[in-house]
Amino acid sequence: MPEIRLKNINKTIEGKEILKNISLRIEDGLFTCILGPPGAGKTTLLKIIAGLESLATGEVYFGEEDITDLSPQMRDISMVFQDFALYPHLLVYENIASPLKAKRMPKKEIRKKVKEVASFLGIDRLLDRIPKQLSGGEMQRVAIARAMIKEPKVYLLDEILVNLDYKIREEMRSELKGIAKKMGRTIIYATPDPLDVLSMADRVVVLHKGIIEQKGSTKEVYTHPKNIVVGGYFGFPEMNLVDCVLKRKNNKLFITTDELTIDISEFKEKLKERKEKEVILGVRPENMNIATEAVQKRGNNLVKGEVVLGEVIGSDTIVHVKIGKDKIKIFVPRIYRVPIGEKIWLHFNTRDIYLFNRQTGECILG
Amino acid sequence: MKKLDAWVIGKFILLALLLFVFVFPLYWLVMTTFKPGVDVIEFPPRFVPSRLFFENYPRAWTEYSTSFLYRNTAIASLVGIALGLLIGIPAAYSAARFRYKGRDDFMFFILTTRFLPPITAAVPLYIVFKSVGMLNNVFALGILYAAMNLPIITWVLRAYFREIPIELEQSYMLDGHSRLKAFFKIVFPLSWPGIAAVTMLSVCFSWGEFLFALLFTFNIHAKTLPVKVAEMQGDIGILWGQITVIGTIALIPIMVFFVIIQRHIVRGLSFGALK
Repeated sequence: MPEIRLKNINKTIEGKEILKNISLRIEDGLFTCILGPPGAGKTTLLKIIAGLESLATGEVYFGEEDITDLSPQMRDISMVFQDFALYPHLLVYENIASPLKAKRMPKKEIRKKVKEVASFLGIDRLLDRIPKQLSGGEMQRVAIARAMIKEPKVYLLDEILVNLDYKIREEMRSELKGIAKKMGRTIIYATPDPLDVLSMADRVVVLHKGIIEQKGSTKEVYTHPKNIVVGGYFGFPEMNLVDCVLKRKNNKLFITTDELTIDISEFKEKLKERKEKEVILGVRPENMNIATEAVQKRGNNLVKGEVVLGEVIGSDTIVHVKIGKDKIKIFVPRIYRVPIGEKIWLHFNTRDIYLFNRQTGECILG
Repeated sequence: MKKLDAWVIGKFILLALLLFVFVFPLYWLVMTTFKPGVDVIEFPPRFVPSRLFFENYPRAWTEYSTSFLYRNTAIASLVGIALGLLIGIPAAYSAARFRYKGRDDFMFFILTTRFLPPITAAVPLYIVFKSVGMLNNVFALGILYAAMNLPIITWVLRAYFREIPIELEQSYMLDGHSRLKAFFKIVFPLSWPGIAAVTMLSVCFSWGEFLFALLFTFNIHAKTLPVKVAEMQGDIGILWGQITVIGTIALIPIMVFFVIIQRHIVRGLSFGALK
């Protein structure tokens, strides 16, 4: 299977720059997520790969072959759209059979293949229905079946979990990963949801306002965000960001706000070239703990805050805490009931903090 | 309970009134065809003929070459509708789906052709038609009707095509089909209610068009039913019996057409929400 390469892609639609100088290599056989907020240009990028959007500048390659001007029907690609794009006037069977009809396959063979794919996805009992009679999850399976039956080299999935309810979305995440593994094909999945990336992707490309902010393995991008856009967006719950000042005193290095002072002298060497004073401290909610008494006694890297909300999500809790004028979130991997207004001590390890330049957003530590 | 009764009665009265407004002219038209001459002009008017008089039918059919008029009207209307749809559907599709410079200006230009009252275009069009030898030609009249139908077809269908998610076509193309096939297999069936609606509107306009038919046709080879009906109000009086016969038989194909196409509109809408 070939890799996909995008070279210097720019796309403007009705005077609005959607993609700016995108160059990207998507490795074959991997599950790559394009992560970005709504309006980042994810769908446009997928449509360019599919050949559904024309290009004024830039090139698209499949391996060594330049496919920039190749029509969508000639590309060996299947795409599942956000709204699934099932043909509402055709039966589920006809929807799934459509790619095979385009190949002019004999009817008998079409029937056999449709049944195979439908039973693989557990939708064989739905073949005589029309899309209107299906639930969201069923629609999605039909759309995936239609994509799978073509047996393309590349699958493009555009926010296909967004319209599903929470429970089905959870189920589909693990199922999709399983299907992807079984097929062993290149999958490019556009999503605004960091959880999709964390649970499924081998690689991630963070797209923001038409620019690739960072690309790499999921782990690498998550642990080493290049800037505040990536750090702030890629994570669930999102990273806590607090305006701080970097201070050097008595050969020591601190970050301070009105409420807290953290000694980060261990990073003195790493930061000795940095001139900036105004920084943003980033701490992921899962890297903060509610301090036990023992930890409180040790007294390092502690900060006192007031609970403003305890949000129970499934078997986890996100505790919202107010520290001075800042609000931060702490992820507690269990159901944790704490009264609103209670004062608690929070602890975090300096190993897990990030520092960003407040002007440029560049990550200077982490 | 009393409140409900009053509401139901009120609704019935309103419906009865509406029915009367719409159905009574039709009743009067058909009933007049069966009235002998004296009954028509009698005052106070007779709601039921004094006797059933069938003579109006053969007279109207033979004396005024109604079959020719019928044929002319049908040809002009069919050409007007078919040509209008043939040009209007691709125009609407292109305006709905493709991004190109001047698209919206082009659409506005199409609309401006309906800004002026038809009479203002009549003289220039007459000169043009005369210079190319297309006066008194039923097909030429059809072309004119197509031009008149075009703005409504293009504007209504563009709105309709825009309602159909582009992803349906794109998905079909990614299945391996051509854009043309995507149009005929996906867009066309889904926009059928819209196409049916503009066809209805075009039929209404073309079948009953009077002004251009009057100005551009001179004899039985090209004259249409509305023009002939107008001519029947002559020196010897108004031939109400024959006029209403022509009106009645002119009505039959339209009514049949509407009944058929209305069913399609309902069927098309029952596919449900597209998005």
